[in-house]
Amino acid sequence: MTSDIAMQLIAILEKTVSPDKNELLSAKNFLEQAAASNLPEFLKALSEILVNTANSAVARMAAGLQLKNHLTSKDEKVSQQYQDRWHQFPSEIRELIKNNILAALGTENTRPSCAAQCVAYVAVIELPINRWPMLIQTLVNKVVSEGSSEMHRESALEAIGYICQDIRFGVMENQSNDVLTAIIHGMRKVEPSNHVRLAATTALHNSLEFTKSNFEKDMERNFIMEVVCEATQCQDSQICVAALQCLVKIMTLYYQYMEPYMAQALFPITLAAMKSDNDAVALQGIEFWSNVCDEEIDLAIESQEATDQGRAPQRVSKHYARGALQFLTPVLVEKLTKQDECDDEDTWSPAKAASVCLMVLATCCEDEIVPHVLPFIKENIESPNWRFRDAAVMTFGSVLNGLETNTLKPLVEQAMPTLIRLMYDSSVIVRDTIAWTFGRICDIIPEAAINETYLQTLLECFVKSLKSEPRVAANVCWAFIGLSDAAWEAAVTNDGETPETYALSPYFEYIITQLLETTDRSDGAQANLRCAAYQALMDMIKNSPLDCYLVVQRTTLVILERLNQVMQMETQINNHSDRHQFNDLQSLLCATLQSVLRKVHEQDAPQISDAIMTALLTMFNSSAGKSGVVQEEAFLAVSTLVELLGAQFAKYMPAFKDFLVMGLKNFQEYQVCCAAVGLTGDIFRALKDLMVPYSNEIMTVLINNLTEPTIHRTVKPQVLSAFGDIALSIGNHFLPYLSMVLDMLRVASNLQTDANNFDMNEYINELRESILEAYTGIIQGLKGVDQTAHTDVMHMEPHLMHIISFIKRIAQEGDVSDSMLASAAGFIGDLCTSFGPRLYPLLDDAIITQFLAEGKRSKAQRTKMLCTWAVKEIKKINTQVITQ
Amino acid sequence: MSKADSNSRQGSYKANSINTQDSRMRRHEVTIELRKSKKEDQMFKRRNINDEDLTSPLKELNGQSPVQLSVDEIVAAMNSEDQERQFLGMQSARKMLSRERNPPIDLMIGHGIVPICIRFLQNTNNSMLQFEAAWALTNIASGTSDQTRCVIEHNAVPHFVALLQSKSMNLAEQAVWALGNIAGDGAAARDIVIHHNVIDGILPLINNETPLSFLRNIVWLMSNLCRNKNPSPPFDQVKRLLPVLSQLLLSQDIQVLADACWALSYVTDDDNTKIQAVVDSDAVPRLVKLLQMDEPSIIVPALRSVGNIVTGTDQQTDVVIASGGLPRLGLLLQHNKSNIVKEAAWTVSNITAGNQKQIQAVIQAGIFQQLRTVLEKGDFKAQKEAAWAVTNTTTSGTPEQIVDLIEKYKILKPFIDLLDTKDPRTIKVVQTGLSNLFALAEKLGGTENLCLMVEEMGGLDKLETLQQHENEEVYKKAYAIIDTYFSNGDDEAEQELAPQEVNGALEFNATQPKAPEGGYTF
Repeated sequence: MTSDIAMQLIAILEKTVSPDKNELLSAKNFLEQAAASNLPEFLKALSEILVNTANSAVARMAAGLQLKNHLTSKDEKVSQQYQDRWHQFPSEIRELIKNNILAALGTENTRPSCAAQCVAYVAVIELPINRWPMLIQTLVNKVVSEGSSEMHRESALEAIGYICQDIRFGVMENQSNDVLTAIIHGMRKVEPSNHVRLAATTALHNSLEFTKSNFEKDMERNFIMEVVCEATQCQDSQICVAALQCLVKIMTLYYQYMEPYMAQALFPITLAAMKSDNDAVALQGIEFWSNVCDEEIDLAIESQEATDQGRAPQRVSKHYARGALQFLTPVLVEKLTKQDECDDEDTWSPAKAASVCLMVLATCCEDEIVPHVLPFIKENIESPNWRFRDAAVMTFGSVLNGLETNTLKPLVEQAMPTLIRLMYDSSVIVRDTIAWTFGRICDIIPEAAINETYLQTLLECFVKSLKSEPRVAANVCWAFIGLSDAAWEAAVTNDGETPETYALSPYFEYIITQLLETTDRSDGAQANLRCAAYQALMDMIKNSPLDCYLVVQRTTLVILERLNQVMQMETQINNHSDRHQFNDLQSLLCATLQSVLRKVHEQDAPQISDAIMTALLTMFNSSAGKSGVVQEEAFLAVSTLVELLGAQFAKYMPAFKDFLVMGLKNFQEYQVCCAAVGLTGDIFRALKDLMVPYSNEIMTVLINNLTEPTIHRTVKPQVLSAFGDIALSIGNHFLPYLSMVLDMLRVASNLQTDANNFDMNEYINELRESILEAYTGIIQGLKGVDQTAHTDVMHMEPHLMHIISFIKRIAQEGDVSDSMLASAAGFIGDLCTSFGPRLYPLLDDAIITQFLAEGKRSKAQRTKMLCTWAVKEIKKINTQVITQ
Repeated sequence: MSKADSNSRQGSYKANSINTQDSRMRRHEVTIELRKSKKEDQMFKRRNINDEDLTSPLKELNGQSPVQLSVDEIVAAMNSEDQERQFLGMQSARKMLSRERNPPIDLMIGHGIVPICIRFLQNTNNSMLQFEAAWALTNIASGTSDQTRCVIEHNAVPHFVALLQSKSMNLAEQAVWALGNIAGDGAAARDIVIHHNVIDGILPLINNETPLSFLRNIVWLMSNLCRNKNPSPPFDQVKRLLPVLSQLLLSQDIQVLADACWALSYVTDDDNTKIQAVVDSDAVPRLVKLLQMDEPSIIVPALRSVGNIVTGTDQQTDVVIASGGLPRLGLLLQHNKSNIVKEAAWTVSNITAGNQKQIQAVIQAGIFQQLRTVLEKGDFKAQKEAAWAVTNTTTSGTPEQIVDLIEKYKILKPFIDLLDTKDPRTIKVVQTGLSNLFALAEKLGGTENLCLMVEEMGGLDKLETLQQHENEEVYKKAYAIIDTYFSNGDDEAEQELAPQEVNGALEFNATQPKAPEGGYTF
């Protein structure tokens, strides 16, 4: 590149910070063109501008930024493309660029260093494949050499920090000694430059994950801890915060090594940090203890699991949170009184952090927290100062989750009159906190709310508060959910049977009316209120006893009317946000429709089904019906209608079939597809033979889906399971698809688990269960309902060996879920009744015997029953063998 | 491990369950759950299952009561002074806890029925009430560990132990059932049951008159008392069960035999003192005899017990041999169930790890013929154990015995073939065996001969391939064998190819300050 062109490029780069929009735009275009025409040369030129100290600071910085932006991107896919592209550059250009950017390190006089970013992102590309082997040592030398300038030390540490932050796990472990040497050197108290110390402390934070081997050695760990602890005492608050962040992360990663430092150093340091007036410092102090609690809660679970399995736990809790409890709580409640008056949802403050810390502290220390918070609550809950009232309620609400029922119930009951009074407080902040607290009470200890003394007063106050500010009203909706769940549970006598009445019956109609009004509030978009009110409504309906049925029926009509109204509003939609709200409303209405339909009595269904189906069909036809979320909810609503109508749904099939097929084909939006596949199974099970005319088309689409390479994998098990439904429902009409489906099942059942891939295993388990469902549906469908199996079942014979080895594989891989065990056992029983004695040699197998024996000891009744039955059926065919 | 950053903490602040996305997911889960249970019902109906005799451990004593109460009503009734209402409440609670799907255990616990049930357990004037209470608690104790713990924490155990002496057989049997569930929950729960003298309670229950179903339950409880480690159950207590368990090995009932064998397998899975106590109870000849049963559910635990015993001292192993264990093991090595073959091979491998007399006994029982067959065509896990049996012989056997392995029993070829397996541990076992063989051959002056055999059987090729193995020990061992026995000279050059240890110490810069004495200074 001639110097003329370089001069031009420099001029353009300087214009990237121009206040003139046109200049900015033309600079941008020029740079894009230059990159597009010859990227390697362009990047080389940029690196030359960056390294040349004679150029202006602006030009050098812009060159560095441009270069960096061609090395990495926030989008992982793009980043990968950039990396591949870099590898294709001619090697001499790559080396030139690398030399330039490394040479530029420490020569800039702007912060942060652009050269450091360039070096780091080339390193992220090259270090994993062992290129640029000298880099780390070079950076370390820049930090530790006697004569290194402040800028050199700082930029080298910045580069190390960026590398540690973004490099793939497993690359830096071998170099952790070198990296730590540089970092610790930069963090020392004797380091004169705070810039250097900050860069070093940030780099340490990024490196902690792969310095495990150093933390395992006492000497090295002592030294690291000392330097970090010293840095927390630095006058510069940025360094102090960064050092505290290191402690927070160290505590999570290396909990087991922290004992020697806890009492002497970590506790006093973090307690002082919590008390700090500097919010950033205080937040890290609180975060440290929230992390300790998280860790100790996990350890308590681990230890319980170990005890249950009769082994010693691998790591044990040192109960630091319990020990520190009496010192932490006074600081935390004090922070609670420092609320931000104009509360902004997005800003994180010590007051908010203190509330969350109290929650985890209560979970961790349970009842032990009570004596430390109760005096504060009692003293301040009626304070004339709203800040103290709010802090007292917040403290109360935050610790609820940790307490034992026996401690909690009397506490809440005692506080009830005061809490109800506070719902009418003059401060909206206090009212919001109290409403949230009531939400938690109804969720955690609803027994304290549902009793004769308070229920009526409480409900009155809730209903009034539904008209309060949106955030207060939304919390009240949440409280209704807790109440209705608890009242229902207390009234249910037999699982699956609707009780006659329950504690909320006298107020039911009133609550539903108020909730319906709340869903219509014009400010419903704030604080998610509309959605909260619909959710409360659905929950109330779901949990309604028989004596509230009339209200449920009326609500059904209201929902239907709203559904029709809302479709007429579609023409008035002007913008994206309107469209979004409109779709949300439609899907909420479809969801509510599901909850009411689940309650409608069978004999009442025909009266409303036409109207409902007409509304839904109109919706499928409208453009709103093209939104994935709406379609999904609408299919689910049809499912509930199918369940209600049974075979009577057949009359809607001619009109509905095309929409169903449209959903089945929509595998790009896999949730829609899943809903349609599930619905298909439901329809077949309800309509049975009546579905034969549609079978061909539906089976074709389903089989096509399975062969579609881009289909989301969650759809596949659902399709297999639907095959089971279809086969079971249409009997020998399934024969045309049998061999194809059996072949698919064979392929699917050969998928192997991989111990290292949890996600994959979960998927394979789901797939296997669906395979068992499919086989079961097929065998039951083919063998028919008679005592002796129909001969059609013999079509499965060629697959028996494979099927049984599939079951054995499930049995041998261990960790079988109860429901898988039950499915497998039921299927084994079906095999016996279908194929009789000839199957005995295949089933007389230690693995299967052991598998079923384990199932007989299962804690789930159904599993136990099916396993016992399967064993009996195997025995039966054995005796048949003998007597033959 | 949760790595909470401030973002996830922000999500917890004043958090409630109102969230469009989450609640949609929850609703869908409910739909799927409902669908699933409908499907299950449909499939279930097509099966000819008679659930009456399948599920209830003890037959329902009372006619079905038509009254159905809500949880609140149940608790109120149970708290009432009126005896009839008490019973009705208790029975409804028990029925609710006995229902097939999702028995509301936590709900009932939350309503405080556990302490009431325990009070009823002690009401000796009303054995029907005691029985219902015991049944309800049994169901609660059969739940999750938390639920079991709740029963323990309310001190149910001593009351159940007391019920073992009840005149009502049903009540005693229910108590056994409950204690079995509790003891089966884990080591801690088990020890609580033991410390309340359960063993004093059950020993007198076993006599010639004990009905079979009751006996089965008692033996199951005994096996749970022996089960679980960390810690093992207090042995001074468990020891008292051994004479009974040994006696029960003479039973005719499959379930009794299976549970008794399991109990002994748990006891013998421990140190030699415990094995000795089992040996002293005369159980060994009986266990050995059970190895010839045609019932895998008995063979498996009996074989496990025998296998555990031969991990003990030479004298303990000798008892198994003297009881005729070896011919039985020989037969089990030909069993059609591969996991039984595997366990038998494991047992044999522990015997060949013993002294030369014991190895001789193994040879005389003709077991190496079976081992060869296992090595040749057994299931992989069985092959692995058989390889151990061979390698152990090459470690402890006399030269004659080892030569026999190769010349008489032709074990070398299938043994070497195992070098092809994927499992590096098995490869190492075979490599160790080979090294031993070569060491012996060197002593006897037969190295060349052995080299030739190994090479002809394809062993050299396999070892050469293993030099590329990803497992460090495997390739080092392969290298060592080839280097020592198959290469001529020029060792020096190859020596350098062996990997070197790397020093991994952290090098701090020399200018670092020393840590101050007496801790930190701030």
